[in-house]
Amino acid sequence: MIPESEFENVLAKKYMRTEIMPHAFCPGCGLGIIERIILMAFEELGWDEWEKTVFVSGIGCSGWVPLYFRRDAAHTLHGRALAFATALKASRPELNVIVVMGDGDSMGIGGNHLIHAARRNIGITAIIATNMLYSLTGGQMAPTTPEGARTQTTPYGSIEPNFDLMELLKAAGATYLARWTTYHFMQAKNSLKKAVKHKGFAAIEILFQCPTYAGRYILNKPDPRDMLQWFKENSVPLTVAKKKDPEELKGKILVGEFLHRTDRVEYTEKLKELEKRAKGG
Amino acid sequence: MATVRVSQIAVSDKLCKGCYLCIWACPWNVLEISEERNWRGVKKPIATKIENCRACRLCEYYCPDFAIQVIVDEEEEKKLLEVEERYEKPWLRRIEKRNEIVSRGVWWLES
Ligand SMILES: Cc1ncc(C[n+]2csc(CCOP(=O)(O)OP(=O)(O)O)c2C)c(N)n1
Ligand code: SF4
Ligand code: SF4
Ligand code: SF4
Ligand SMILES: [Mg+2]
Repeated sequence: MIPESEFENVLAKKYMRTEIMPHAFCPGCGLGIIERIILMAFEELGWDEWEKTVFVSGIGCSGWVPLYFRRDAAHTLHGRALAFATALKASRPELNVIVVMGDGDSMGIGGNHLIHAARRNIGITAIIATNMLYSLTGGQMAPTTPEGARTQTTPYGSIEPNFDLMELLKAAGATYLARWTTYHFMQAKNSLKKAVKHKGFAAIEILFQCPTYAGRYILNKPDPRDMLQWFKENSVPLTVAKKKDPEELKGKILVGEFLHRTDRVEYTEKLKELEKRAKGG
Repeated sequence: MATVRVSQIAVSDKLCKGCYLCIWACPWNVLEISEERNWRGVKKPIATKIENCRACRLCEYYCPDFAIQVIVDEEEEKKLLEVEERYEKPWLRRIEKRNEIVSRGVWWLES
């Protein structure tokens, strides 16, 4: 028998800074499952891929995700993770650059960087952790808050429609898009594996349970188990959704792989081409 | 009847925060909330019906804090891997194939 006082999970022992754990997240917070999704993907991609990976994160609870990995990570300014990552990828194109951002971080304050990174089709993997509000600062409304939802700053219900990240990035020019929830950890892991290997801007939106704010304010489900159950019952795979009419899909979470294009050239490859041309080669 | 023998379901004293997602995830009702609190004030989950455990590891996957691990002895692990090689790998390959086809189907211009 392994003594439970000093026991460490094998995955955590291999990849994580267990000396600073348990992590700072609330009990039952889905960010830990997102960490596991990332580690499981790299467990299958292999150690070589892990060795050439760099993480960049923004500000928010979700910005803490890569800080627990035994890997280089930059915890940048609020909303500027993609700006930092763009420079990093442009100077070291051989690296896997993985950016972990919150929904407010990526679509609120950092919205501009997001659409332009997609437009350039730069080879970054963006993991967008959506909890439908700003949680680090106490549960304010975010661009992903559903219409009518109650939050700290919308006590009478939000009157703004929310962003659909997949449609936004499809129009902006991203080349790999997927959305899953923490309930669908296996599918999310498979998508992440593809996204890391993909040449071009890849974004994966993962809805995760934030029992502390989204659970209490928006869903009225302060228990993480109820939130996962809600994800399970309220998500519709794309293939099924195609056969349903839009009225039926109101309030549901569409999950699946939304886009996989191979017809656009990646930014750093164009950059290399340009360099050659400018030097008269 | 269990198909594998699980020797221990270890729950870390340091890491477990008592969210009970592992109990929610377990399809075989192996885990239960323990009676007493540990030094962190957490009533950890304990495996009261370990003989029902199939080592599916859903409890591990849904634990956000990397606090739980299903420990199968080496002989059993080998047997499990053999089953995976024989039955699960072909099944996974089929799923991969299907994913490939589906992803071609969601080509943006067609939708
Ligand atoms: C320039 C700047 N403006 C505002 C803040 C305050 N702030 C910190 S985190 C945050 C919102 C984070 O929300 P989100 O990106 O959704 O992450 P979550 O905490 O929900 O994971 C805000 C507004 C800041 N740190 N910097
Ligand atoms: S506030 Fe929400 S997102 Fe932040 S750690 Fe707690 S549960 Fe997680
Ligand atoms: S899911 Fe993990 S942290 Fe939550 S009660 Fe189970 S072992 Fe503890
Ligand atoms: S491995 Fe599966 S059956 Fe065993 S305790 Fe975990 S979830 Fe339950
Ligand atoms: Mg958020």
